[in-house]
Amino acid sequence: MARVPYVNREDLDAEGQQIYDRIRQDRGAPEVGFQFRALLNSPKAAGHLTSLGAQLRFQSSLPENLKELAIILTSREWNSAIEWSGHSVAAAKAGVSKTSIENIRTRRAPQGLTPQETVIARYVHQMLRDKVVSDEVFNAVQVMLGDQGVVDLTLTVAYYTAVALAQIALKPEMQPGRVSTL
Amino acid sequence: MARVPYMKREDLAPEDQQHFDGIAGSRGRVGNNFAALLNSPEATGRLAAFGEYVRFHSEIPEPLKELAILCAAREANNPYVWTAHERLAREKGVADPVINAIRDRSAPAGLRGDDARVVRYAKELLTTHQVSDETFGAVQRLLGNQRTVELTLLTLYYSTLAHALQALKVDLPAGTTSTL
Repeated sequence: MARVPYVNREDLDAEGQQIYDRIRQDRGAPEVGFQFRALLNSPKAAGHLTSLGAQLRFQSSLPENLKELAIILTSREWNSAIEWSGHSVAAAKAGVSKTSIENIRTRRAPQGLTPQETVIARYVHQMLRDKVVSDEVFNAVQVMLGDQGVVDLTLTVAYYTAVALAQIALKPEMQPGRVSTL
Repeated sequence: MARVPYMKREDLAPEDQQHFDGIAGSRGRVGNNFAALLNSPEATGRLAAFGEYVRFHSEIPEPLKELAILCAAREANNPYVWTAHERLAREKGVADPVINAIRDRSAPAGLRGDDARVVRYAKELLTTHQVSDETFGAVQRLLGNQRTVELTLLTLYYSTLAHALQALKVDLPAGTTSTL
């Protein structure tokens, strides 16, 4: 069990139910995942967080493959089975090769990645591990993605870090019937 | 200089200026932090709305909020967030030895009561990335489920912001010196 109750739609007031429905609709999901139902103990905070997430995930200026690559690199870094299991599939659909995904999963990356993917991996690793991104890596990303792109990449890595760490704190389970591929 | 341009209101497309205005309204002005992030206007608008809620509308006691924020700034090594919130923490009654213990990473050693509970939680979350049952339980008994989620998201909001400002090398406000 998670450390806080999973909130049901009927537990919420009208405004909370709107938030609940929007989380599901934004993600085109049949149901609201446990990780969000745990956060819905604070409906408004969950609503704002997931609104940011929907923007970064569905309206990003980043190419789909590089966005999903950044998400799985971040999920690997924080050992989030929930995010990894969903987004490794999305990454494959977006054109990230099985070889690249496996190299990320086994922590060999940036080894085995394409040159573009390598730039992203170095950015993510420096941001999360070193807390300092070198001029060389920053410039490489900025040349590749532009100013909006580098900000979107930064916020995507930071957002998925927040989501993964929230899971470490609250310990939501994977949805029934889903198996971790991390 | 930051690694991306600071956006002024007039640099934004008309439909994006609402995000600039929203930030100016809730924070009193648009600092270098959001001016840099506004290179991605819609995402930044939503980030700022998230921050506004957890920072200004959550009913967690104000000094405890500031402790969590300082832990996030310390962990990300970010002078921008630290310097702004060291001052705010002091204004809200956080004692200097507590601030110093977070800065020199010795906290929660030397802290007491609710301060120790909140700092232990933030540090386990951000530093070891493992929150013990004991640490979580202590916060949950103190704040209840809603505010425990809010403390978690407040801490993670500032971790998000601090990591982003660090990557973008956002400058401290003019005339300000880092106290980190």
